[in-house]
Amino acid sequence: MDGKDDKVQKVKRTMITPASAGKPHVYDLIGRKLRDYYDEVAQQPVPDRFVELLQRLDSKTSEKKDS
Amino acid sequence: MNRSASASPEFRDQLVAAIPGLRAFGMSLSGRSDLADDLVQETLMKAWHHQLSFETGTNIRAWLYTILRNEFYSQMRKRRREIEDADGEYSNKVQVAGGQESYLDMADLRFALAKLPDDQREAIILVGASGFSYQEVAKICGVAIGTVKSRVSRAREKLAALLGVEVADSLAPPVPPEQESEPRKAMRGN
Repeated sequence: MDGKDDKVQKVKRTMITPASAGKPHVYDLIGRKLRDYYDEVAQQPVPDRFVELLQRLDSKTSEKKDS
Repeated sequence: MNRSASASPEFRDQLVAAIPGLRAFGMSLSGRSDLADDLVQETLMKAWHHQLSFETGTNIRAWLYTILRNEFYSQMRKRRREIEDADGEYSNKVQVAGGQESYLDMADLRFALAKLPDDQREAIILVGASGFSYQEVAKICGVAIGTVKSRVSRAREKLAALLGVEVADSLAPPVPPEQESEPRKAMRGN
């Protein structure tokens, strides 16, 4: 009966509650850690170099178009 | 019919919006922030030059991640020898890590990710951290959904094997002894 709750959780981030997991708490921790690792980078602001790159590409393509 | 027509503002905005996630993806794939940013740069340039081949209305995020992933593997093939050298150092560090901190630290996770086979690493990152569905990941990686599922579960097991001992030790009892033995065996096997 408790198993039903697992299904609800599964919807969001699939890896957290593997049906066959013998060690769900370990997988849980690894899953969280993986997301922390990922989010640490994903939450950083976009570096200027990329904004500049897109601006450069943009001006290049519009030059081409004009000529 | 200009091949490189200038980007629509929407396309540009979508690229910008995808950058943080792409950097995180590149970082978790390669384990290095400098490589990650090079991958993102290549991805943005490729996306820009191929924007006409992108069908508006389809999943731009998945498209960009696919480009980054392919770029990563093509760079890896070029650098294979260099990477293999670094791998030797990684495996030493992973083994040493077991005796240190009682909880899982980021460096351990990075080294453990580095030890996964490429296909398993990308699968667990895309499903577990990027938040893509199995179906999207199947498309990104060009394999069947079932393949993605089994890669994710093998990746999870392997990470647990590499890191699970420390985790289990730190959290104390909840792991029954017979389940603990698998990761321990795997650790020794390395």
